[in-house]
Amino acid sequence: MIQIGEGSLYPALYRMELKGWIKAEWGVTENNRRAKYYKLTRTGRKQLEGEVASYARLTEAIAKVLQTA
Amino acid sequence: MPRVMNRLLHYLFQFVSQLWRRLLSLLRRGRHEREMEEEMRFHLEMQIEQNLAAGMAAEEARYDAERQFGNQTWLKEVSREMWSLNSIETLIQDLRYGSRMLMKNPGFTLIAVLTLALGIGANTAIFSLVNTALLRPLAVEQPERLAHLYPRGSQGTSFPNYRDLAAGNQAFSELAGHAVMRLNFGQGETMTRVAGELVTGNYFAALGVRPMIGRTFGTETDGTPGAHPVAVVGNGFWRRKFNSDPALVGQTITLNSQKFTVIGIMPEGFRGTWPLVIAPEVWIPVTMQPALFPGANRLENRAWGWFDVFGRLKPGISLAQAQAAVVLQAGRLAETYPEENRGLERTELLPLGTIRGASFMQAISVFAGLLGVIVGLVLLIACANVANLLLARAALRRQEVAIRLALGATRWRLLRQFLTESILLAFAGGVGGCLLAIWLMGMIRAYRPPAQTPVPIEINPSLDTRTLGFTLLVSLLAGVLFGLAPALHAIRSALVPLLKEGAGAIGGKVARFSLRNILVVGQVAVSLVLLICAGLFLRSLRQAQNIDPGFETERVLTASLKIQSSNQKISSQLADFLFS
Repeated sequence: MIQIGEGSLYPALYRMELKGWIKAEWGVTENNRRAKYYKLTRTGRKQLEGEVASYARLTEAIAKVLQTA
Repeated sequence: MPRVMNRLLHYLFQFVSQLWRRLLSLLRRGRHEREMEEEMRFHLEMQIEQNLAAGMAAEEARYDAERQFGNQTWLKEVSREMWSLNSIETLIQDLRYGSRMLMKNPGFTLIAVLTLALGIGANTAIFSLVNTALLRPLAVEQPERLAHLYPRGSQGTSFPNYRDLAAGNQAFSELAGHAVMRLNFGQGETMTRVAGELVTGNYFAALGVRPMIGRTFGTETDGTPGAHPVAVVGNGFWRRKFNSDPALVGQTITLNSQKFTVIGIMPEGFRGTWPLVIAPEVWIPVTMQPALFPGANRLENRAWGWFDVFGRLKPGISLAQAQAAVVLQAGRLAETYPEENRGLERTELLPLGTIRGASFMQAISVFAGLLGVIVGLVLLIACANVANLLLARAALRRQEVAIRLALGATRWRLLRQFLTESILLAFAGGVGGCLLAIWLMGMIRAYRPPAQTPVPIEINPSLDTRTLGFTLLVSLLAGVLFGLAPALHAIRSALVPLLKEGAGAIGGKVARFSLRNILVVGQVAVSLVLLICAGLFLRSLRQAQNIDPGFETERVLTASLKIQSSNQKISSQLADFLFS
């Protein structure tokens, strides 16, 4: 089992921000605390769609291989 | 294809925008750092609150949250690296360290920089010469649309032929002509020779160049011979002889004892259209030729091909089409005047600048290439020298390398640092080389060919952006060349024995074909080749002086006289006096 700490989220978020896939904004939570909110940008949405599509293709291919086997 | 292009553009855009964001975040590093801290702290506190709510003890809740989060220090490190422009920061660090190291060893630095300056300076000087002579584009409008008429088997076009060609011209928007002549400028004691150019009225219009002050010739100067004693002077001539006095326009100057009114001054950089070193300084209407050279009227002689004709192609007309049109015209002229125009139908069109045959340019190129190889070898020797010095120093720095490796520096990182240092050294050498080249250029400029040339020859190399770019490139190459081997050598050394015994204590094995030996052998070999080359050059020079010209050279001399009068009678009296 691979264990990934919750904190690994942050480098990933920063990386996506650098690539322009998400946008960060400071906001306020329900109990009035400053917190950072991340939003998907248009390029990010496109990227996501592309990744999802390619993942779907991959799993489909794997499924096909397994079926024929 | 368009899809591939789109893809490429997309990637390029992404790369640039990412770089931009990185640069921005580099400037706002402090804010990023604070925000990251805050964000992570917020995350932990939320988790702690949740844990507390789930009923954990305060201490336990904090530990659990931190455990779940992972290694904070490492995560922050990773995030930081993402924002920073790592490579640039490393470079600045290396540059700072490198310059400190060079400053610490002034003796070594001085010797290395001087050695490199010699090598790079020689290369820069030769390149500037080649650049001036062969590479510099003509300072005229759209030089690629200019074509030169090249009648095979003749020196040039005769003036009556030029007139007929211009009258029937279809392919060119302007068909102009020019010829370089040696003129006597001034009178009496101060008389000097200048390269003048006799040109048709549309010469400047065809080239698309405008004067800096005043005006140039119009078609009216092609009228009655001798009726337009006017002149346009070049910028260098104006500067040297008239101290850049703008009042020169409207004044008269004396050329071959004739008065000419200056009507315009050309801008700096306009040197006519001749390749290499022929740079006319005064332009005179061609119709003044009989006045300048009494008794030798070339304007009506159809057999005397002394004039060079060129034209600007009409828009939409190719060189081949123009060639066809010119051959047709020339053929007709050859038919009408078979006696004078024998072979005129074999006229060729060549792009301007390749004037006077490719073989001449080829010879010059070969000569330039030879010079290039020689100075290249000199640079190679300099590089080997510096590499040797660096190797000696690398031996002294073994301990530094060992310690840094032990502290976790990668070998790649060390290699980068060593190379940065050597390139820094090479650039310092490049600056020194430029200074040397400027001095060498002064010497070249002061050189006057010993033999009489039909027109004054001016060799005027200068440091322009192209030459500076070349020097930069050569310095960079040299830096990598002499730096790579010592750097690789230094970082390859085994770590453990060095740390154990210290730098002085490694003895025992001495490699037989060590890098240093190879460098020394190479240096000696290349030096020997250069020495032999130099010896051969000297020998050929001496042999050239001893060539038997087929006549008695003892007690014979050639002299050229400035005869100050255009008066035929005085000239013939002088001739009688001299040859009696």
